Amino acid sequence: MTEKLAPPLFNSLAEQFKPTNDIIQTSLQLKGHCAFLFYVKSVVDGDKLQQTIIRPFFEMASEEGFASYIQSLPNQTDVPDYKKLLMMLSAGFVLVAIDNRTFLLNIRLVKNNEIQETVMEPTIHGPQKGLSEDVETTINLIRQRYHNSSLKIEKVKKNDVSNRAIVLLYDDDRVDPDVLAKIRAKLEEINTPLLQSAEDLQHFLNQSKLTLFPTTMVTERPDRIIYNLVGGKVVIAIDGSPNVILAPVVFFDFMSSMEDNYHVSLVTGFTIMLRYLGLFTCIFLPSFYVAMTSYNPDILRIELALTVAGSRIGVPYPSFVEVFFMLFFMELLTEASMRLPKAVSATATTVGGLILGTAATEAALTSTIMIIIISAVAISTFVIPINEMSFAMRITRFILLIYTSLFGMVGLLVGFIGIIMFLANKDSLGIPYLRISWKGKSDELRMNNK
Amino acid sequence: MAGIKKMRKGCLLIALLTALLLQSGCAFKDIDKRVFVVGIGIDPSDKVRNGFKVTLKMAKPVGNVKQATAPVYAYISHDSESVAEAIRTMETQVDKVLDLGHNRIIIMHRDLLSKDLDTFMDFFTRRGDVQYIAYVAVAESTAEEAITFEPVTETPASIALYNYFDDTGTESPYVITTFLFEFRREVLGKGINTVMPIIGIDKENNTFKVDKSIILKLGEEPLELNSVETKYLNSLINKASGFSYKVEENDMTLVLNINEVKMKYKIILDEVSPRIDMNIKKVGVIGESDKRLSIKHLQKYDEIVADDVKKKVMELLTTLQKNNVDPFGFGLRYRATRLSRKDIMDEWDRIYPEIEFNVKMDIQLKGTGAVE
Amino acid sequence: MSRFLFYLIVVNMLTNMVSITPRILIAGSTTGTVLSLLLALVVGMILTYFLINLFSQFPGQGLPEIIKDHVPKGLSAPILLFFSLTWYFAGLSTLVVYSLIIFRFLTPEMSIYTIVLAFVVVVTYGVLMTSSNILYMSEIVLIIVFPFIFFVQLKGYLSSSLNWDYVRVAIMQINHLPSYTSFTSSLFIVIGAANLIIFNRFFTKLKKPSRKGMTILTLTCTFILLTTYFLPIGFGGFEALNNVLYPWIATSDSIRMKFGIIERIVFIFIGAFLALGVISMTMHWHVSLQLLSSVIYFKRFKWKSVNLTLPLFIVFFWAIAMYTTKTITSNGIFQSVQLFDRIILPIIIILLFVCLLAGKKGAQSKWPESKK
Repeated sequence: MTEKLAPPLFNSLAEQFKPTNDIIQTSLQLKGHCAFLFYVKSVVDGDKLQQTIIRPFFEMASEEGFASYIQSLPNQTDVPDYKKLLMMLSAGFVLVAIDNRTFLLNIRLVKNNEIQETVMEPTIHGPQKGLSEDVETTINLIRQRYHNSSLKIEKVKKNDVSNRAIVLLYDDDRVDPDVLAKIRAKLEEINTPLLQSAEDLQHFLNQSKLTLFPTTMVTERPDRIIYNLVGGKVVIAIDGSPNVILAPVVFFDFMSSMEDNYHVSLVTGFTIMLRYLGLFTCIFLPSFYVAMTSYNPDILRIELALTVAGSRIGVPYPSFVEVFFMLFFMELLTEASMRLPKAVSATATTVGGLILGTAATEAALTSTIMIIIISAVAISTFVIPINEMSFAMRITRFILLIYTSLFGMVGLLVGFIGIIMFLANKDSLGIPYLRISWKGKSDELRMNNK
Repeated sequence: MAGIKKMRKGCLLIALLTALLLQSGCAFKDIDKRVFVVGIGIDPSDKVRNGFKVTLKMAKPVGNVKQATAPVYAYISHDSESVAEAIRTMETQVDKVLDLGHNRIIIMHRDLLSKDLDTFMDFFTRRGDVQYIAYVAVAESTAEEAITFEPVTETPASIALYNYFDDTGTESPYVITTFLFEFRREVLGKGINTVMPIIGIDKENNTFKVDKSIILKLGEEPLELNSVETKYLNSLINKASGFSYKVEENDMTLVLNINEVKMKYKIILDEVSPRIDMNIKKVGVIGESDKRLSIKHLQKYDEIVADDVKKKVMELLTTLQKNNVDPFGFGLRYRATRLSRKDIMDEWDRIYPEIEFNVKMDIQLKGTGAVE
Repeated sequence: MSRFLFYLIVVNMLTNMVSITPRILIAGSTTGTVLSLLLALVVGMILTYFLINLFSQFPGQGLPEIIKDHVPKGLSAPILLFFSLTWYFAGLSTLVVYSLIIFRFLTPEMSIYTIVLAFVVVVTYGVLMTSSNILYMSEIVLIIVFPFIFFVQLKGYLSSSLNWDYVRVAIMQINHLPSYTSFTSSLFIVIGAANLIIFNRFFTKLKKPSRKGMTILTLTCTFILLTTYFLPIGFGGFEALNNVLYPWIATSDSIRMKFGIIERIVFIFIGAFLALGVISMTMHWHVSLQLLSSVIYFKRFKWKSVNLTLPLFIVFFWAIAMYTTKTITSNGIFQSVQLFDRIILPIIIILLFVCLLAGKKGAQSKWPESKK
């Protein structure tokens, strides 16, 4: 009995994969029946392979029977062209050859499909679990929360090195077709060698290279995703990232927390008000300090003016240097406590915040009022629910501060209008970025293509 | 397009930063390089003929307000031909920028009132940074003394004189408050005479004493009101509450606390003689009594009091009329209720000395206080 | 009626509250301002109605597009240039007045160049934005600013220092025939709808003014116009206000917020109006720039695919603005605004109507042809 030889395809594939050690090219033989398997061991689910292919082979009577069994498996796909085949094999597909026929079976082993805790936007109420790093699981999570046939899932092929799956999700009935076309075109345009995560992809979706405010949103919360799907937005998921991208977004999306939907109206109103006050505080306060101490002290009440003047006695620098100095340290502190392991970061905050703060006033490097302002600013920055916006506001604050240091009270006001202008002039995929919507979010989104 | 935008933004940023470095310009003055003027006193000068002596009260910032014990105010004064000149000269005497933006009180010497007020008051309204809500007052002796006096109750960073006039501190019907903008509109306009408080000093108790007032007459001697007249006038014009009133009837003495005053008047010309109908309503409680009181008799007390108060009001009105001053603004009302014509104010000047007052007093006592 | 149309009118109206207009009105207070105000309200509302009505027949078209086909180019170019100039002047006068106000009341030590420079970056950015984004932006700014302005006015009306007798005196001047200057000045306040000349490009679905819209508009206009004139008089006096350069600044400085974070309301007021001034300037210069570029556009004046015509115009705009702000006196701006209101404003209105009617006629005569 002559041994059947593996098909030439297998050999050339093996050649391609060399010198990788984890490829398996093997044959199953029983009473003259013969089947060949080719797969990459580390990405294939061994148990499932055993269950669905190897055992049936030995139970089947004939090669034909086995071939038709294989063909009827739900995870069987046609064999694509050679290049794609290589890619699929490396993703966990198993190539089976019986007789002269070859089949491709999806027996992927996905280790990163556990569901993540929400880290970036934690809430007290609402879902506590986020998405998964595995795109299939993510789609599953979304589908399971949105049972509607109009939810479309569309794979986008990108030719980057890693060959990750990028998936568009949208509700066909609600999405703005112009926006969808724009997103497709945008994705098409991207020709970067490597796409790693949603955040990565987000950079490439932004219009210009020098951007301050995010025009797409990265989120990990399934409830936010569903909320936005209903609002007619497009979700872009990328394999390997626990976050997805929402587009198009407007400024107010960044100022809303999902918890707003879970509270009673007055509580929600209060928190929203708090958030906007926090936003204004964190942008305005440092600049206001400069404007009032150096340009218009008569704005304050006399008591406060005297207190401020008194606390500045002995401070060697003009107010704007003082503010820059303190803001700089505050930013360092924030950045440091973010990067440090959790156990150490508390120490950093204490050392930096408490000791540095008191020592700086003791040494008459800054005024006590300044310390209050800086702490208030630091706290209010974190009130902004979406991290990206809070980062952007940290920079905006500096721009306004520069403008105020130059032009005083006028600079503060005109600079603020400038920021509003800048935001109003921005658009996210054709949707005006900052616009008051009187009709509710979903209507506003569709206002443009009336 | 994006590239150019980026370049444009970059250039802008660099330009702004450079400008910041160059920012040593004149407008940037830190708060500790300024000294806040918190009171201005104006006296006629002894040294310069027809000149003024201007005294400034300045607040010195202290490191810790709560622990400050030493006086935190400094005073300087200067004689000059005009107020503006005096202040300009004083700027050279102080090492910091004089900031008039926080000044809330301007005290004048009484002798200046009969002079041409415009010449020196003009300075304050012409400067943009002097508050229009500054208080204007007259000193009993000299403005310098009133400005430099520090009463026992004065604390750092809280100027005692302000507390008399803004309604957040003491509230008394004896204290009349006149703002700079009121002063200006009444001095420059026709039909109303300005009333200003007189700031006196009680040397014994080491406190201020603000209980009299003075009515301005342009170019003439002003009319001074004593403290009782001031109280009545203030309660009618400004509806000042806290008005207390003593009644003696038979052998009983009552002290009333009035806490609500309403006053309305009408000028009536069409009948035989011109008259002003004035309706006054006062609501209050009995604050002190040397006899046991009965709630039933409240109405009786009402009438007794009304008669008494009416008499006092009539006295005040006739005094004002006799001196030809009009702090109520009857003339303004006359003008406000008639279509404009050229010599309407001359008409009024003829009518006012002969006009009759018809006062209707309505006192409502709401109770006898906390005890019967 | 679109809410954005409303903003166009309201911004124009509010900006004029602090600018020269109240002074012109008060200067004519004894010569018929009251009747002029009422007349201007009626005429202004009628004009606004017809303007909106006419523009609604050209959805999404600005004046350049409307008259392009129906008026010979030799005629349309000068007309558009003239409009462009007048709108430039309107923006310029706002800039000058606000710079002078800032110079006088906010930062007296700052050089006027620096003050103008503070506007340059922001306004330039704003002018180059699209019409729709300007409208979105002005909506947000209005929403932020309007509560403050309303608060100041409410505080003013409720203040005990407001003497209604002065207001009544002003009303009693109703027996004077309306004066032309006061009439045109008040007309300028209410005629903000003329900004549609370019902003109509945004309104692709402008409807004819509804009854409800016109009622709200009329009520708002009446309130703001009357407040503009009467509230300063109530605070500043009738005669006394005549020589005040910025009556509304003086008025807001007379209102006091006893327990507020900021005691002097004038700063809130200046801040709010500064924001509005920026918006108004942006709108006016945007219109001016668009009109200008519809006549003069250098197609080949390019640098790396960016056409430099608009930046060039902007540079000219600022150069002239810098020069004017530096050289003009406060009386000079008063005179020129008065002149603008007296002569140029009627010409604008008449010309605008003529153009629109010509455009309408042209469109109608064309209509049957295209139908065939």
